[in-house]
Amino acid sequence: MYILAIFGILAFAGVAILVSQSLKPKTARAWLIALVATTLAWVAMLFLRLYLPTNLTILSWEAGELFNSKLTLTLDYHNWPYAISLLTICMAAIFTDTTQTNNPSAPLRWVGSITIALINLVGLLAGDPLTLAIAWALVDIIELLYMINLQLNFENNQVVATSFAIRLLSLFALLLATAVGWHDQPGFSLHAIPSNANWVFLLAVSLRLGILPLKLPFLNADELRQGMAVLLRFAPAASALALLTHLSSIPQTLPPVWLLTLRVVTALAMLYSALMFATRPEKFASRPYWLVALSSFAVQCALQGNPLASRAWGLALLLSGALLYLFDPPIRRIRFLPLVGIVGLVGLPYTLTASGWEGLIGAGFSFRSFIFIFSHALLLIGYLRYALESNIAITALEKHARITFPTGLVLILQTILILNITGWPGVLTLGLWVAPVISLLLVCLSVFAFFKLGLKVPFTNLEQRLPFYRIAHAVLTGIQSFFSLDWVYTAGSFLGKQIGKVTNLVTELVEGEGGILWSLVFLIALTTLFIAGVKLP
Amino acid sequence: MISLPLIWIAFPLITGVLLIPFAKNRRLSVSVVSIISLLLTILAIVLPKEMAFVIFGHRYEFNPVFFLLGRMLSINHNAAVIIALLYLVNFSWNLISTRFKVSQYFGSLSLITTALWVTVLAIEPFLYAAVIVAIITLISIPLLSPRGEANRPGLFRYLILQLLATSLILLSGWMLAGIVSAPSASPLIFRATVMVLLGFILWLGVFPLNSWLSMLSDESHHWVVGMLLSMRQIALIIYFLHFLDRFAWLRNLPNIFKDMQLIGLVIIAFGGIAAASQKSIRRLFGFFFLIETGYTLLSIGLAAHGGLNQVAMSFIPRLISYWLWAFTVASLSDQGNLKLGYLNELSGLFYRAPFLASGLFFSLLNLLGVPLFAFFPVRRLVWAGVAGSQTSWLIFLVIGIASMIVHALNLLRIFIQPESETRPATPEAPSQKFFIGLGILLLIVVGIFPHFFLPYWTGILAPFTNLFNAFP
Amino acid sequence: MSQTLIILSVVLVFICAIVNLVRRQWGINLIALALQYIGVFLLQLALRSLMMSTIPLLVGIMMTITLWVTLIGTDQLKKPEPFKAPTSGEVFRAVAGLVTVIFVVLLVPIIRREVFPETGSYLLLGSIGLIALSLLQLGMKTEPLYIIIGLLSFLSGFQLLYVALETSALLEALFAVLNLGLGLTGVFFLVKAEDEAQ
Repeated sequence: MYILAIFGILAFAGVAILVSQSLKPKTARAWLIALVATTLAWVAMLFLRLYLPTNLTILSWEAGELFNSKLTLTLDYHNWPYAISLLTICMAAIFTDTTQTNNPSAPLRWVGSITIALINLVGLLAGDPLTLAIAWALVDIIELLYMINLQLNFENNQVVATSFAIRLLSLFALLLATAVGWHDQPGFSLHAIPSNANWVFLLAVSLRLGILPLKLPFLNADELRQGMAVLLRFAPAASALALLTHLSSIPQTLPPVWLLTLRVVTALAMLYSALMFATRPEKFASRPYWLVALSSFAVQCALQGNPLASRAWGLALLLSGALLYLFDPPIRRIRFLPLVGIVGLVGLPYTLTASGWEGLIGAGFSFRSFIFIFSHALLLIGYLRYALESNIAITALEKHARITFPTGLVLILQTILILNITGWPGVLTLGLWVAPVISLLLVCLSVFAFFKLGLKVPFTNLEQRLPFYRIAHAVLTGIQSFFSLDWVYTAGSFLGKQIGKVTNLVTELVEGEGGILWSLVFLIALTTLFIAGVKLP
Repeated sequence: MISLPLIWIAFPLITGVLLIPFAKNRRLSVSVVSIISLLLTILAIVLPKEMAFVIFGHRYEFNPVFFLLGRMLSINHNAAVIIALLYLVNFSWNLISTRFKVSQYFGSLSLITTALWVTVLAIEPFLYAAVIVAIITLISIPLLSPRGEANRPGLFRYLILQLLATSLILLSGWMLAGIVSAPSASPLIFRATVMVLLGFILWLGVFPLNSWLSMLSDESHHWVVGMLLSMRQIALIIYFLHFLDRFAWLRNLPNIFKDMQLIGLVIIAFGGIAAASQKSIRRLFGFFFLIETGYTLLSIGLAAHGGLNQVAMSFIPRLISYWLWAFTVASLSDQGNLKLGYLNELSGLFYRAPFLASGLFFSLLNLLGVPLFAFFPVRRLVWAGVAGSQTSWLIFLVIGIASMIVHALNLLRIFIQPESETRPATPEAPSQKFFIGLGILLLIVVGIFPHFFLPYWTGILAPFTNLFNAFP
Repeated sequence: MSQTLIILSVVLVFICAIVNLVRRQWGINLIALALQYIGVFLLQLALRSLMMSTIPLLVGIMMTITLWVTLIGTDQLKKPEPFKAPTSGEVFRAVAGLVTVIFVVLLVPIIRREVFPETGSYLLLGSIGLIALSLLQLGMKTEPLYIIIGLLSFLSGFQLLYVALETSALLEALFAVLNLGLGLTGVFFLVKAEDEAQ
């Protein structure tokens, strides 16, 4: 019931803000309602840590034997860390959004943030594929409507449409996975996913996280820099990451060749995204690569047969990522806050991500392990770079925001620390300490090289300073165009057009003047088929 | 004792005919038709099993049979649900038909058509129904192509193929009579099966004989096409179930259900590809109809996995989508937003007319089976059925659904395209917003609470006891 | 009824159907349609009572007259030119029609043996020939009048086949309604075509 209380608090806050704004608009009141509600929800979620696991049936589709399904919510060690992270980001987004209070639409954005947190929380806590599918659909449609409402330019709108189509694909992959799973075990819960459906669920997760297809829909609009937009991007990933923790039998069910291929492809996606993350011209442009890189870490854990370890990387994605991207405007004086946030990513013993290495290289070092470590180092380098590139004076903020803005960031740090201690049994571990040490050494070497080359943040004159810059740039561009998979889309689009042409040609033929004769021919052909008694496979 | 066929067939038929002279007064004719349709729907829903009402101490009994020229029209309690559905369709299409530029005979002819569809399901011997289907086709001509509109080829195609189907079904009827006394291995069985299947393929516009569907939806007013095709699909599916129920030899044919699954899946895949490559929004309805026929055949094929219940529970979600789609396309056409019917004419529709755009888009998502919408609870059972029956055949579903997603993507891209030139906003009347909002709300409410709205309609299957016994 | 009369009726039906398939002169086509109904009536007489056979004849002739009157009313009926030189299209359709007749003649014994063993040969020949020729006409012509003539012919052929298999008063009434409906639909199309032309 406490779960429902959390939903109730959030829903009530959303409605209360809307009502109060329509009666007598006052930004401060709206902010206070949002803040109190999210804080209460956060505290309640923290409290629920004492009652794990908790199950709740929210709706029963029972009408005889017709549907025989229940919509259930489950809170356990698989999803509780993600749930608390989601509420933290929502709270932090509302805190940091105080830099925008002059904007009359700010209260509506807070309602939006609360709504996004609420519906993604449903997806995150889904106890069965049915609830998850409904929550995903709700999230996708609300996100689409929000994006449409922004009235972006032509290019961005095309990206919005493509992103929605990919989300639909992930949704249908989830439904396909459910259908395949039902074959073995009708009405299964996410805790007992039939092994034959594991790989289809992985497909759904990969599509939702953006690993497949490696087309990173990148929206370049000012409206998408605000706190709500960060939530909008990060929250859907949370439920996919939570689902990933249940896919425990992928190595056992996939053929070895397929497994190896998937591991290699994911490793390459990881490396490519980490490289792109570290080298983007500005922080905002690096966001999709951050998502894919850390999602690849999480998926790799599932592919290695240790999906629970994916939680560490998933939480780094959400919390360290939110810390970095909510740090906008990047105030120089408080840049230590995102820098401290690196503790959620570094993976050193007894930090949040320490247990994540077990999922990646638990089976022993191999060539792929070096790809993981190198990718990790690239992520650390990029993170440091964007945190250090802060160049705005604190005076740019209004007086109240000088307190609330850093408080929002501190909240995330606080959650990182809380999860570091209480996230799940065994979170506080030594882990495979060699890997983060190597990664850190690589970071140190890079920093040393930067100083040696006389580079300073922000990197504006790389062309003159870096040796072999042109060659490196050409190679990077080549890699980028290969991994962006534009060639696949061009080929796909060509194929689609050809199919369309053939379909239109057939349509013209069949609907033309001789159409009735064609119909008679088809009729005779069908009769012949029946008479011939064509056997089905 | 009042005869039920008189209530649900003769009364609306006569009323429809009597309303023809008053066609010029559309408001009157549509109001009368709406009220009668609603009353007949309610009566069908509340009809007790013992077919008698006690009002103020008087017992009113109903006679389920009516004799006509030596043959019988029979409507019993089991048929009440399907009758309720048919009159509900007529009511929901008539209620707001005065908004659209359709034939002045819409009210009267739609009532006659509904009564005739009920006749199709009530006549004994039931094979004579084939001729009535042909008569319905003829009656629908003035609705599909009223005076003042050009004679278009799709209409002729529709007429010819429907008549051809009638002859095939009638011939099969004669063969069926011979089968009763013939041994099971008789070639008569095989020929009759071929005739029945070909007849239904033509009637329902099954691939590859589907050209009339897209042509007709392109040429005729969408509000009319929506109503006529919705009723046709419902009645003919039930009529097809009659065949399967009556003739044990038909349902016992080796592989017949497996074949239906495969045919359904091929239709879904083809329909999806065809819809994805369409440039005309007006033709799309024909392909949606085709895909829905595919899903129905697939569900019937999955009878052993509970597919028959899925057939019955699909009617309402499908009707809401058809209604919403027909409403929005008809509104756009009548407001002059669709001169040629090309999708490109709808660029930026989400900004110009958000309700109309949402109506189209959500209707499409519902047909696709997206969770949260009315069709999802049923669709997922069908998908699970395919996975449980022939996992490898899921590929057809994947092709069909992926193609429909491509189509949704195309539509969305066009709808949210910022206008290069400033076009005036398409005015949306408050009532238009209300009806579209209502349609979308219904889709969502049914999608979240399917257990309240859908199980009632499984009563449609009550007459098919033999079929159910074959698949307990 | 004598065998000769039956054969002559079949020949009459075929000639009328081929004329309707080939020529594009509406007056001649309607006369051919009327004669075709007479041929079908004669064939039906071999199986049914005079009264039952007269119903389709009356309905058919009535519909033909209605179409004729409509054509006159809408000023679409041109003076017939029966001996006008045929166009290449007409020659092609004539050849196609003859080939169809040959096919039907060759196939009918097989069809009779396999499917309709109790139906008379000439009756089967007349009905299947009429069905085939009208389907050919429906596939080759797109003008509303020819579509309606084609459909009426198809229905005549089918009725001829069906009376040999099953008789029912209700079915007869339904067929009559269908024929009437088709004729009226034809009138509707003709009136609309005239509206459009204006």
